[in-house]
Amino acid sequence: MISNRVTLLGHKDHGKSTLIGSMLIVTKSVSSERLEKAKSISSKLGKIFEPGFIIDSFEEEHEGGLTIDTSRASLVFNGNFIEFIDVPGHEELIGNMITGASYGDTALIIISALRNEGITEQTKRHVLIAKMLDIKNLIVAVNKMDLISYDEKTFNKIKNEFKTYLDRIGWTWCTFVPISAYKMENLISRSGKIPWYEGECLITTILNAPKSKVSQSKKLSIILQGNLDNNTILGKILSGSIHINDKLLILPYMKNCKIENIFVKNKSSKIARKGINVAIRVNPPIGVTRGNVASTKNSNLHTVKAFDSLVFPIRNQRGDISININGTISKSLIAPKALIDKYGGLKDSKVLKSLSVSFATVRVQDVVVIERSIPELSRFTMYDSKGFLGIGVIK
Amino acid sequence: MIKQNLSLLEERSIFLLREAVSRFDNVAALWSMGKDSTAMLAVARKAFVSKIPFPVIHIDNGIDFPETYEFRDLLTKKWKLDLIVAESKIKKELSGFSCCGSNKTEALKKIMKEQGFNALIVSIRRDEHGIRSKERYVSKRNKDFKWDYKNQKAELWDDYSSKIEEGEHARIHPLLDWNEIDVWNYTQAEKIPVNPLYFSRNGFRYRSLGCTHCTSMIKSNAKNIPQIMAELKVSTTEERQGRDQDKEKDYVMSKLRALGYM
Ligand SMILES: Nc1nc2c(ncn2[C@@H]2O[C@H](COP(=O)(O)OP(=O)(O)O)[C@@H](O)[C@H]2O)c(=O)[nH]1
Repeated sequence: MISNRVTLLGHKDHGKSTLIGSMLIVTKSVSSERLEKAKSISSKLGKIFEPGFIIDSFEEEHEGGLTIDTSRASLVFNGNFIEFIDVPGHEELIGNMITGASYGDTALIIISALRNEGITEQTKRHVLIAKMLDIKNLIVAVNKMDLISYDEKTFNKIKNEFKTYLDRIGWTWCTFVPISAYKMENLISRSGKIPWYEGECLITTILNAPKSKVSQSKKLSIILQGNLDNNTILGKILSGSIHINDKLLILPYMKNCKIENIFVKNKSSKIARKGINVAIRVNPPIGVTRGNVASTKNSNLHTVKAFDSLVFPIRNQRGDISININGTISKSLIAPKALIDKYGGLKDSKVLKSLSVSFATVRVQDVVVIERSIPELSRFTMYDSKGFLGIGVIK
Repeated sequence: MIKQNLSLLEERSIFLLREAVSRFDNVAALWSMGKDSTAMLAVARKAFVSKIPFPVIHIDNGIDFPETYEFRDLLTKKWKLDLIVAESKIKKELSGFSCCGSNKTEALKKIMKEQGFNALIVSIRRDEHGIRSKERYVSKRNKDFKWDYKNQKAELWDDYSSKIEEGEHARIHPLLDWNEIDVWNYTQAEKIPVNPLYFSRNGFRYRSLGCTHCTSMIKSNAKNIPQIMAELKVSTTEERQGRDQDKEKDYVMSKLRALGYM
């Protein structure tokens, strides 16, 4: 089955949970118990029926009416598997939002068509983050069309305004779909209420989105997790492939060894490729730790103490931080250079501004292994004394 | 119910099990002899080239089904498991909440403390219950086994470097992404031994195994795994329906989890 992972983004209350709930209902992907439970909670809270309650399962979420953490829901439509990832839409929880967004191939951003809702700073920020996380496809669902009598003019106004913003930040693939999540219009078939709309319904748009490409790098990189015994190291192949008798170079310490045997799962194997978790018997014996990378001499992975990057912090910060790159934490010093302003332009800045994208140089205390052509070796998370600080991508 | 790609699920679980062993110096796994924790052990055998490097804990209330004890002893021998039996005493009041919630958690707390485990592998799945959709692959529990679900670490880009303070422990969830049907599919494909209680006798079988007191049977004629999978394809009810706990209050599960029961 082809899998489609869709991250839902958008300002709180624009209808993310409602959309997932309705999608589950119209594709008959929800158990009768869960549906009954959502109905009974709706009536306990004095509401007609909130489809969103199908996925928000915490007491606090129903009472406060907002999503506090990432939730996932899956459905099957005409033999296609789609997983929705719902992320919290309010500012304090942007850390959770970033996590949720990093799971998806496609981002679906919801914008309410209501006059007092519409495109907000948060809407823009969410697509900026999706861009940093390297999500390729963007679907914009203009929601609550039922509340504006399915008006074409309002839809076009939102579409044009948002398209201008997307062009500036450089999205290449995006498409706009008018829907009513609550009334379940234009979700899995074209809606008779929106005759002026010529595109596909939402689910077809999702299924037609281009599939994300995985790293094509031919360079060998294996992230190592430790030793099984003196002679055997454990790790996951990120790129390239290995064969018995190949020579390995263990970074960052530049130790050489030869592959004597490869275990894929329980069995000895002559070869192993990208995506496989391997156990490798090497000679001479080598002790490795998390954060070490196995490669080859001619792959030329970089071991560095400083690099330039784009960063997105969730608090104002400068100076000392920690970064987690390839599973290891390093003390670092971060020196911001410039800020990307809300129109996509550059502005000099010496501080990391909360919820904005900056250019910065990161200096790490210990050497780290990086490689720009391999996503896993070119991105990092940041921490300060308060905890999660944000994300970065090496440029 | 949705079937997923087994080899992708398996690779992910292997990675997580190796992360657990590499990050924590004193790891143990919970084993209930049910299908999920048994499948997890089968994956662990692959992650560590046949020899599982951590002990497995059975929380034994002394009144599990005889089939379960037989199954435990058979597999312990076959897979050379380092089995720890933690005895949990049944208290008078046997309704779901006080039985499983407090007794099993108490027994678990005791053994974790005695042995100093700082990471516990638990084979829960995200599709089991609404509240589990919030779980992380590595999830911290404080010294009272409480789960602070509102304040969890972002596990962005395989960053599982949770810091564990004295007395706290990490729950590792290698099967979090699996669905019920995937576990059966894997069990079948890998020929993993199955606790016979899952198969129908006289028109009834267990779909999920708790202890004798809080698990009840479902109507079913499924006598083997393909029949169970066929049954799941058309099922619209949830897996844990046979457990008394779920019939209590809407949110009892979140309370049990907060108490440390899995
Ligand atoms: N009339 C109408 N109401 C909607 C629609 N979508 C969402 N809502 C309502 O908007 C409110 C917020 O929706 P919710 O899904 O909780 O927003 P979230 O914060 O983005 O998850 C709820 O009261 C929904 O019933 C829609 O298409 N039409």
